[in-house]
Amino acid sequence: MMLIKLAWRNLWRNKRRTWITISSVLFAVLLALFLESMDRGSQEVMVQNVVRFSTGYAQLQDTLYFDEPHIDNAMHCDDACMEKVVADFPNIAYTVPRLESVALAAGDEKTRVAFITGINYEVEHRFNEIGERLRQGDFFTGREDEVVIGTGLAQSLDLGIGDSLVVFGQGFQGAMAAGKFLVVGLVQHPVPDLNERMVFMPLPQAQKLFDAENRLNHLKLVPHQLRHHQRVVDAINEHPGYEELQAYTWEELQPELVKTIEFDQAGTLMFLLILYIVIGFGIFGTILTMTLEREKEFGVLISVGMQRHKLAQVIFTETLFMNFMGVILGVLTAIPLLLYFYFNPISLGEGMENMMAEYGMEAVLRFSLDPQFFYQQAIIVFGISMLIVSYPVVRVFRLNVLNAARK
Amino acid sequence: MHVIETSGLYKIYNEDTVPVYAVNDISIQFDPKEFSCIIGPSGSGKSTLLNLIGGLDTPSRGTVTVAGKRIDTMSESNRIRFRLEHIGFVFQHYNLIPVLTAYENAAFIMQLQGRGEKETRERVTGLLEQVGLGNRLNSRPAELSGGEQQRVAVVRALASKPDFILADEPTANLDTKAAFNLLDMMKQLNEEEGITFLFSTHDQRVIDRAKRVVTLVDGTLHSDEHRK
Repeated sequence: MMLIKLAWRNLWRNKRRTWITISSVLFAVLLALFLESMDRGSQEVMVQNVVRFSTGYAQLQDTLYFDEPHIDNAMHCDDACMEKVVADFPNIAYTVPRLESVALAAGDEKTRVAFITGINYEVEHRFNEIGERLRQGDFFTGREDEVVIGTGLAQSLDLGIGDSLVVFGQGFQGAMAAGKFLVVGLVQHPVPDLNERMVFMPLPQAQKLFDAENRLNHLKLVPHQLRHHQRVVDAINEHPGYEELQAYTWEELQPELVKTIEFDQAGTLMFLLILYIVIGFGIFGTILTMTLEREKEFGVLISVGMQRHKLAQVIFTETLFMNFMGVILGVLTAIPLLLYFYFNPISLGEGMENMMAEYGMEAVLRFSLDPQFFYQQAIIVFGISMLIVSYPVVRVFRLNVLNAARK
Repeated sequence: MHVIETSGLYKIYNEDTVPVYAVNDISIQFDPKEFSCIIGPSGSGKSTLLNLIGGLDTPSRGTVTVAGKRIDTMSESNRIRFRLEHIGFVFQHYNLIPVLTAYENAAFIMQLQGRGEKETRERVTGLLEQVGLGNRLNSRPAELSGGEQQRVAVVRALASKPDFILADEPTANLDTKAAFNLLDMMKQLNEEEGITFLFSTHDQRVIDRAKRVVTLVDGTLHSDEHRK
């Protein structure tokens, strides 16, 4: 108790220096959290945009489809099959079926390569809120020949609501896939490349178009907890009765996205490392000054009978107090700041929109509030600052008492 | 039994190149209740001898026995513990802990010894009252005069109930009145309570009060005068 009291009092004998050290830790935590939040926020948006609108977090396919992603390798899965998947795996909340193929899509005068996607609108919207991106018309009206197309495709084919779209391609096992459809809606797909190509139609209509009754390219598996998608995939792949199907995580299906995220994380890590080094040296500077200023006192204390390890405990406790206060204040300062940016993302301006759009990202910097990185960064900065305390502690153990007491 | 005994004591610097004999073959004993001082010109080895006796330094050769125990052969950790239990230190610059009050500075040593709170409070309060600082228990060093600080330092040295007190130039930073007061106080403690004091000093006021004056010259024992 006496040592703690001494450490606490020592902390305030030079208030300015103490506050400088606390501020160093505070700003280290704050900046690290800010960077990490921005980085994770961007990644979360990237994953949401790309994953939710393409592969989903986990996906069930025919075993042949991964190597040959062709409609001929579409899996057979009717409504009963979809219900069975949910029943067999309690971790799965619901499934999102899709039948997809590439075909030519033509308006009055122009033809483009299009990505024809048969969906069950209700579950699709539940999964990725595609309906919120509808810009004109409706997401299906109940007709048997209707499509909702991307605004980019509509623009390039010069089509609008009520116009006809002709689709021509290859169906299941070489069948011809051709049809004329009414455009009933225009949707702004978040992935720009897909916005230029996307044609949505009701799943039964797509199965009919491609002559692929009860067939799906894949069945998206939506876990109750999105982060548990790996568990879902593992469970299915180990479950008897699913030998002809194979489940994948989005990381397996989108290795390029994983690489992009890893690259992004590496950049952030570099920034953080530089930050840690700069802040680390800042803290070290004040600790060094404190140590050198008090060497005489250390020498006297050892002279009168204080064991070196007890003196080291006092110094360790002082630094512990300072670092702990810095970390707590840093987190407390970061929370309102990050909350603000979470609800008010930073706009990068119009100039960045096109460039960012190419990567399927919005021209805003979004922030994450994932609690995981809060404690991760707090622990890292705390760890670094506690590592620095090894200097005065080592110094105490190596102190020449006579030289120190003479100063 | 002698409270301090050195035998054939040497402290040699640069032994392998050009040896400097800071302490040169000193054999001396101090008994309990002595009020002694070591004097000599600068560089005569006073402080070095005091450091060797206090276990702050280790001899190149010879032995140092304090309260019947050889401290020159102890490990550093044991010497620190030994100092805590057996030796009180008073420094020229007081060297109180600035963030602790007068009471806490003195109590600190007893707390390091692991003494109980009640015993500590009674002893420290009593000692501070005895040296005329009963009304300054809660004052920090910066709020005390030099003389008062040195009295607190003496109380700190006494609090642990040591076998003797080593005082290195204790009056060097005090004005005449404060120096006399301090010396009177220490003399009184010596005479009434039998506390053993060993000074290193240049101060004639200390020398005049000492019962025994040991003079060092160039690290050797030049004279050892016992007074009545």
